[in-house]
Amino acid sequence: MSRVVVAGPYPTMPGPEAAATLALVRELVAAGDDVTVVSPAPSAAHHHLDVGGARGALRLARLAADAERLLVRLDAESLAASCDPPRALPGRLGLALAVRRAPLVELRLDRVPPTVSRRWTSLVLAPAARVVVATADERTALLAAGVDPAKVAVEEPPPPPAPPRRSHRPDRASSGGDAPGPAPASAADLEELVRRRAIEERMLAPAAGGPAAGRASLPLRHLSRMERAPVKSDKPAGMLVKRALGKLMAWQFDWVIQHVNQLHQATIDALDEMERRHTSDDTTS
Amino acid sequence: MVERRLAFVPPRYGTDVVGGSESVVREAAHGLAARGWQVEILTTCARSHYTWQNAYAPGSFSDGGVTVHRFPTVHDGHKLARDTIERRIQLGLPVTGDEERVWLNGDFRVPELFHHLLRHADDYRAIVLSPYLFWTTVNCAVVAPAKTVVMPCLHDEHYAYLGLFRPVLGESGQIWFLSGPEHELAHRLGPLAPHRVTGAGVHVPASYDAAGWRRRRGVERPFVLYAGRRESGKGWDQLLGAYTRAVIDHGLDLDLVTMGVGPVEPAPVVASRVIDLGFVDEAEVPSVFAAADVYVQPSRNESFSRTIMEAWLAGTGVIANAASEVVAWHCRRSAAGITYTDFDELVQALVVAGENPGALRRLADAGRDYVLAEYAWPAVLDRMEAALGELPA
Repeated sequence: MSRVVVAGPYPTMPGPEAAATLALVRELVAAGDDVTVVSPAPSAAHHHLDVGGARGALRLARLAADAERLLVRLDAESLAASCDPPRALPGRLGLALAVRRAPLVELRLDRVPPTVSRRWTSLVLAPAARVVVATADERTALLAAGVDPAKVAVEEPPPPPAPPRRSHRPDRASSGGDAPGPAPASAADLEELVRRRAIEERMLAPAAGGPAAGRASLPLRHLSRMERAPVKSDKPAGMLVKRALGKLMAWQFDWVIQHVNQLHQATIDALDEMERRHTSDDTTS
Repeated sequence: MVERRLAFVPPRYGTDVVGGSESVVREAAHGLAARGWQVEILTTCARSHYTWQNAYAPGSFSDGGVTVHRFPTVHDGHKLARDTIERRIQLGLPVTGDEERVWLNGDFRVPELFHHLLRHADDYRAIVLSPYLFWTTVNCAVVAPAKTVVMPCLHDEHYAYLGLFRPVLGESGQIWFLSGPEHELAHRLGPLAPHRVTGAGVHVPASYDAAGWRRRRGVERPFVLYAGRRESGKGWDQLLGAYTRAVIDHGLDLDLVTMGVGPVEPAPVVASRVIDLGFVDEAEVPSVFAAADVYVQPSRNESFSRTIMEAWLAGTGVIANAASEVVAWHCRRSAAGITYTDFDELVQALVVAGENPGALRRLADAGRDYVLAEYAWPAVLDRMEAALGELPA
């Protein structure tokens, strides 16, 4: 069993590259290797880091230091492999360090540009034992940039998987189909009673005095008044700091809370007043 | 022996984990284990579905007849971006594929579980993933699609329409649905892998002790019961509002008793009438259902609704939200529950329940017959085993 670090797109990231990395990891774990997976975005991988950036590449270097093999899938185009922009230098140096930390390194390159920077190949590709590309043209581009021909292999990507079995036909529901028949009168009767009363209630509500007043504002009356969040902390010192900060910031928030609560109450009062006027108009007419 | 070995992958597992799909998975796993299957649970160390923080120790242990493997959750996603995308999803606004993945990975990830499954997938006859909405299901579905069974517990909610879930439902080995409406919803969402309506099982308690429970808890007055998570998505706010109005406007003489998790927050005017039991011991739950005068299921997001089954089994009448296709389907098929379509009807349904407790209890008899015929565990496990037999060897 050897320790292997695999870096590349990984499910749930979409695309054939993620599927290919999963297939590679599947092979490695089947062979009994201890695999750590790194992906450029959050996924099912153990870690996610951008190996094109300095921070991500340095973290990859730390992981690679403990591994016997490092297998990295790189998108050459997005790493600007065709030129040498100064802003890419920190990331390149980090990646150069990572590929020098592991005893055995294999790189798989996607989207290799027609012309590749010699500086990039000497920094990133030189320490690799094997570099894999998808086409002969990509291989030619790498050789022109000074990569050792013995290292560069061409492996075509596997064909996309066969479409899955799918069914548009609703299968027969084994736990019963739709309603077996009309409901007994008692359930229907109760539902009918509920519906009729609800309609009557709606019709009667505006004309009713006394108890109906405040109906419109009921949800607002149930809404809790705004207040400052309680100070919580597992640590006593944290509690003290939070309390002190709360006092310092009080002048900023308390008037907002007060204002919102006044608005809340004013809305309730206005709704109640409108309801009272509406009720008295109906009674008068 | 691979032929009789199964893995269940729920995002949370434990007797103290509250949730319908979690209970279905636990009971199905134990039921199949009792029938001679070698069952393993691969799950996270999380207990709370709000925080997904690791609350249990990682590692393996035996729980009755099943072996449980717990793996730690990792929280390295972009939480703020995830929450922003979540709000957009809840509003039904479009999100891109990349945003869907940020949302999925933003809450928690369990890479150790994924790689354990990758290493051991060949050891299992089938891998059962449930429910659809979580990282564990979406990611583990790609490990061994041909032997993957997804028990999605779908609701007609905005999340279900995300592109992220299309391969999960379309490319797995089998899909198990809990009800006819869930099955129909899945067809509306897109192409489906081979599927069956297996249903979910409910345990039939040997006995009920309503009077004893009332005595022990000191609950003397008649009451309406709600069991589940107290969240607006589950209809708790609507129930609380309707109950308040039924009390204020109609003098409803029932208390409101609730068990589960989440803030209760009743209006001050009814605060003394709303009783929160919190988390109730599993052995006591049937007696609580039996002691209730009526059970209310206000959630519109149900893929099965075990609680209405438990109420019917206990002889307690059910009032349910007609907006939940599944619950309305159960009420229609059994003719044992009354449904409401809006807030005013819920108020009136509570009032009617208060006036005619006997009528609702009589309806519950039909409900009990319905549950015993359709959803007792032996019948459900028969359907699950038959479905497993159809998976390619």
